[in-house]
Amino acid sequence: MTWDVFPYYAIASMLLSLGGAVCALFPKTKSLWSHLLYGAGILLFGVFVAGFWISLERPPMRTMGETRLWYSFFVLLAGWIVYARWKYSWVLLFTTVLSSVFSLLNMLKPEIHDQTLVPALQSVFFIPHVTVYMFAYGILACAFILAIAGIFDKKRQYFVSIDNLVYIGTGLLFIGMLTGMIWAKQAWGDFWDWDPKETWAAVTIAGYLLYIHLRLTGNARKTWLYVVVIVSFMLLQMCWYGYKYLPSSMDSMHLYNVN
Amino acid sequence: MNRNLAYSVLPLLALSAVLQVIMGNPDLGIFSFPVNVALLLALGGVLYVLTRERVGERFMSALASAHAAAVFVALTGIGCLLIAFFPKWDFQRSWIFAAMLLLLMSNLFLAIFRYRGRFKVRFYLNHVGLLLLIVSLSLGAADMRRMRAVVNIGDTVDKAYTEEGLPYSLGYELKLESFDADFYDNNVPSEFRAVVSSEGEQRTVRVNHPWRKTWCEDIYLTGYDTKAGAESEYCILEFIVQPWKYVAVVAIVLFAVGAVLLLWGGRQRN
Repeated sequence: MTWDVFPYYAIASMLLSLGGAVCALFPKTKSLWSHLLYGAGILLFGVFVAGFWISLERPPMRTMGETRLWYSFFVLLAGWIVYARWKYSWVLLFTTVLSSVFSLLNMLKPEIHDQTLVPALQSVFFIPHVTVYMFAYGILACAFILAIAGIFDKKRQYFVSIDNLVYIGTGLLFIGMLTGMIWAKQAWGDFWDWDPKETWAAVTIAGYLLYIHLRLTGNARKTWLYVVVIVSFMLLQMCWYGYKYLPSSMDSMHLYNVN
Repeated sequence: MNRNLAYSVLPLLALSAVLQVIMGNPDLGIFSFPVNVALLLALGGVLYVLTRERVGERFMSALASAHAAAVFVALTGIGCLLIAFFPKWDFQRSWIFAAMLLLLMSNLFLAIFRYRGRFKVRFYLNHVGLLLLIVSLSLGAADMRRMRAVVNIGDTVDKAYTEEGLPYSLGYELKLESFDADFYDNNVPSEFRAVVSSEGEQRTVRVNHPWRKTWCEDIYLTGYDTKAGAESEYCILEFIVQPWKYVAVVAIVLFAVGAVLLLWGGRQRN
């Protein structure tokens, strides 16, 4: 399984997920169909990830393209969980579109064919660190979508769902960060070094902790709470790939595909 | 911002700004053991006594509140943004950032002392874990030493150099026995390793696999002559002394269990 066959799997997965998302939009359609079609889309995507992992002979988590692959997969999965749990009929459409955008980027971007794994990445923490972060990004993408909906739709309350997604996503962010800290100690000698990616991870977590504590105060304005979730998701994008466009990233120890 | 909260935040930030202007970034050395431990015990002790004796109750309630936590987390986040956008400022070593962390630690101490909610296990794991983590990485940094030595194969070293170029005695002799490296077809290293020996013990050191020399000291292989590749005649070894290492490890374990409970339980209402 290589990148050459990725478009076939990705397009088939997109169509299945889209079918499930459209079924979810029509109340007369049985929700079983939306679950079946959307679930088949996730399964097909998962088959490609598993096959790709086996053929690469290393975890597909090194290049930007490979992390996008996990993100597309986890956004679909997180959307499915949100739909199954809270029955927002439109959420599958948004997660399908979001996942498809990142799959399309992988089809159009050629800088993903690299089978090497530098020594720093050969660690037991590599797989849990990256997958937990990508799952957190997927969950928090759903919280972001609900916050956008909350800004425009004043009639409905989205806070119960956003609260749960933010708590779960933040828990995953913490686990990703803590596994990264132990890995950093083993690889570079210190738990925390203010590397650009670490710094942006701290900013992102501060954003979500701010939301959690503002909710605990019980008197924060609703619009501001939605804005905090939206801004935190923007900060998360900086932590994931945006920091690479800043001059300070040249000193980062997290740029593994730049020689 | 609550008036009682403003009384705690603004004077401390103003004081730290004045110190910053007058003294520049603090020398971390002045906070090394036992000063850092004394500061920590003083902060925790004073806040505990004030809480128990209910001195300045309004002020302490404001400082312990979720509202204060939100303000301090936001301040720390802004501090991190400054570090991210302006790394040359070294803001993480400034008096102002130290004041922000002090406020955050005070809030964590008070929240731990005063929590009366239903979700005690999750709350304590997350807040004690975070407090210990901040303590070990901020106050603990004062006791950390990072030194490097370039060692030729067959040579023995008994000292290494700090980042400022100052020599530092290791307290033992270390010999570089051999070095080897493997490469992918595109010349990217897949692994490099050095065999080192000291005091009758021999170890292979490679990336992600340092030698735990003592309870607080680890030896890392950080570099070699990249032009010579596997034929490199020397290695760069890094000696890291970090007495607060296990405090950080305990903090990480507590925090990780708390994080699992956070994602398992989601939002729970008292």
